[in-house]
Amino acid sequence: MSRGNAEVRALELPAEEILEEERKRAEKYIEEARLKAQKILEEAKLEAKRIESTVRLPLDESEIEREERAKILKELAEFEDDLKRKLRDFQSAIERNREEIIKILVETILGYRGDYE
Amino acid sequence: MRAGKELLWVLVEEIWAAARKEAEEILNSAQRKAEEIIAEAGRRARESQARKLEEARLRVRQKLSRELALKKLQIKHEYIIKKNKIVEDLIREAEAKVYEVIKSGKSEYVSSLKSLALEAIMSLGSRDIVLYACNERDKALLATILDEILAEAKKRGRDVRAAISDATLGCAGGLLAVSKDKREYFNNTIEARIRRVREEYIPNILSKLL
Repeated sequence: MSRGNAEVRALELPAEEILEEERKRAEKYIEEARLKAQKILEEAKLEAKRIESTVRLPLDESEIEREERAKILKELAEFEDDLKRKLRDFQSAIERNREEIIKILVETILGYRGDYE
Repeated sequence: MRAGKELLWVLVEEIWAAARKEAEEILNSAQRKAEEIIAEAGRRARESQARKLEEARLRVRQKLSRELALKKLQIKHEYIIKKNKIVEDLIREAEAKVYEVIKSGKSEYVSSLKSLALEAIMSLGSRDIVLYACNERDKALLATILDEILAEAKKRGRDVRAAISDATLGCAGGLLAVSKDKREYFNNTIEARIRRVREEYIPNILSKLL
């Protein structure tokens, strides 16, 4: 709304009428803003629907299966490595103490040691 | 007239300033609300996508879990077999040394026979006991140390009578003690001791060492 417009008409119309007309035009301006706002909201709702509809697309389960299988194979490899490490530790502990273990076993079997102390 | 016009312009400006402010607020509010709607939709979509993905993963995991469990079992089984072999090798080595001692029949074995007989006698409740040796050699060895064994048993609170049976067991070493009334016995042959060591005492011995 320009002041010049009102100035020209002010020469022709009484002040009350000018004010009334400006109020009406201002209300229309606001109404247009409301319509624009409504349109913005409608567009947002449409966009929301579009966003939500993308998750309704079916998932590619074969890809997930590939991923999960890879995880499982990794898990298995870790499990196997862990047991191999435990076995190595066990074997080396036995080797470190072999003579003593054999001695204890022999003495236990022959009854030199108390009741399997 | 001039002042009236000025007032009118002021009023018109006020009307429009208020209108512009209200329109701007309406649009700003709509913009904010629109952003919230889209953000909320994005959040819901992400959550839904994550849920769907998790459900799919769970389905696949369930499908693969049996396969995983079987393979783990297989790996564990192989581990146990290898571990048992290590232990079994130890026992075999010990057994070989034990049989060498028995075969020699020297003082080391005599001491062993004494300990085994004493243990058997102390373990029985009966006062009349018959001792069975594995072979003729052991029978003779046992006869030479019987008094010593009984004296030691008496010292430990077991005053018993013991006889050596004419019959032999045909075992590698050690002996069998049976109450005269045959109600109880204590098998202390080397074979029985090896069995007991393998089945009951190996885990104990190893856990103390390892």
